[in-house]
Amino acid sequence: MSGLHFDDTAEHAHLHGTWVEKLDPRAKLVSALSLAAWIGALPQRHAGLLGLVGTGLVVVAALQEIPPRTLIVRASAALPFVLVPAVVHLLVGSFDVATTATLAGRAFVAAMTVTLLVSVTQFSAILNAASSLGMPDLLVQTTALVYRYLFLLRERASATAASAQARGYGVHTPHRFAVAGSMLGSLLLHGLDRADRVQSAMLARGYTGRFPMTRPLKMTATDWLVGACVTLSCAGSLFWLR
Amino acid sequence: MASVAAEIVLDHLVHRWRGRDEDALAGVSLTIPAGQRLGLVGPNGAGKSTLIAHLNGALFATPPVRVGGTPIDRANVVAIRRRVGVVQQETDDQLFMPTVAEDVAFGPANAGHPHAEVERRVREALRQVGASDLAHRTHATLSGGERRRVAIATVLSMDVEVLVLDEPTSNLDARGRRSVVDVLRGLAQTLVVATHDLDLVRAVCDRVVILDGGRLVADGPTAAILDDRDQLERHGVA
Ligand SMILES: Nc1ncnc2c1ncn2[C@@H]1O[C@H](COP(=O)(O)OP(=O)(O)OP(=O)(O)O)[C@@H](O)[C@H]1O
Ligand SMILES: [Mg+2]
Repeated sequence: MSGLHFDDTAEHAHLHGTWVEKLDPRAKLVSALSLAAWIGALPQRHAGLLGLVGTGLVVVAALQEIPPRTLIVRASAALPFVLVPAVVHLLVGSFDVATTATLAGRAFVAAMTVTLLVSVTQFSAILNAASSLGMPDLLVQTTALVYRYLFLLRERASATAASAQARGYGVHTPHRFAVAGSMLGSLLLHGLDRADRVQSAMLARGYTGRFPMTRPLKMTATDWLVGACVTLSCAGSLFWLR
Repeated sequence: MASVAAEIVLDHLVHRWRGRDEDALAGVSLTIPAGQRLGLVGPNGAGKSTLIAHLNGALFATPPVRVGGTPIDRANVVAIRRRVGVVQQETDDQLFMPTVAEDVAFGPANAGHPHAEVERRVREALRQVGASDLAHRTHATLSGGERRRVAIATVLSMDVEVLVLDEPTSNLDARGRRSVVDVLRGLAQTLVVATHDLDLVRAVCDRVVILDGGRLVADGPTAAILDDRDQLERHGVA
């Protein structure tokens, strides 16, 4: 990890000491973006390669002691977004199982990539990297807010799900979908409510509309090597598979 | 690690929440000298949290509350928040960054300190609350007592002169409460603690005020106030 690091937390070394975590966030961000672009640009007839990349991501995650299940569960959060284009396809009459399945596959593997990135890089480091790579400030700040909001919402969602299950919510619940709908509603309201209170807590700690970025960044030879390898192999393989 | 401390002056502080037809604070005058450890007690709805909101510019009043002579108004609010830190009643709202270390770093980083100084403050604040080994945890994985101590660290790292805590021991078990009490006893800052926990008040505070219905109904040294059972019962505090 490139950020805050304490010697007195050696017992947590497995959480923040792996070489992937120590890479410069810019190297990781560029690698993740190249991979995401590759996933998007991969020709339909080679879609099977997505499985290979997915497996590779699971392996890399496992090496960081992130269980495959965690990676997959978190990445599934992106699946609802895939349903929207699928429905659109259906409506305009061009629905085709293979295309939709590949689309879902691409979205899922891309989501795995992003999940892996945020699991091995501090959130503020990613923003710092994006900013120093020339991402416009407004976009950086907006991303920071959106990410923080989604993060709170996810926490809230798992709390809601846990309390619903504790009260016997499950496949046998009558009007299950209606109940889920109202749960979702209250989740969003709670989320907004909480976002409001968190906003005041942020102000209380000196937030003036900008996420602070004081972390110095330093690209080492390894960082250059990893970034270059990933980017070049993405570009190279696309050229070859074209 | 606190810098020069400042006196807080409330001069006939009044607050009425929008849509309510009674004052939540109905003219509270109170001077809190630098270095004092003040306990703020009173029944539910007495106005404790409302008063706290006025101490760091979450709310504004006329005439303004003053910290070391500086009025808390819109023009000074950023500077005031660097001097007066509030630990909210709900730790869920206090902790909002993905990891403990990032959360504790948020305040000093906002203040524009260089990276090394931010790191030093994070380390020091976590050490003060006995949470050094939690630095890389996400707050969803912390116990109630750990969250509370981390919440305190998020404000300590700002090197505030005045630390204000709203219900710092609610929902904690005996050990959690004791650890918070130990943390508070070890601090040099001016303290304002709103609480229903009279044991905490006895262990930490040197002065106690009772707030009831938005009014200050008693004010005195801790022992004198806490030993007056009748008065405590009359105001629903014991
Ligand atoms: N955001 C708000 N909008 C409207 N009324 C409010 C708001 N916050 C507090 N109040 C009202 O102001 C009064 C004082 O509330 P406050 O939260 O300050 O009490 P408290 O002493 O902190 O109580 P508790 O011990 O329950 O925390 C109450 O009558 C409460 O209903
Ligand atoms: Mg309160």
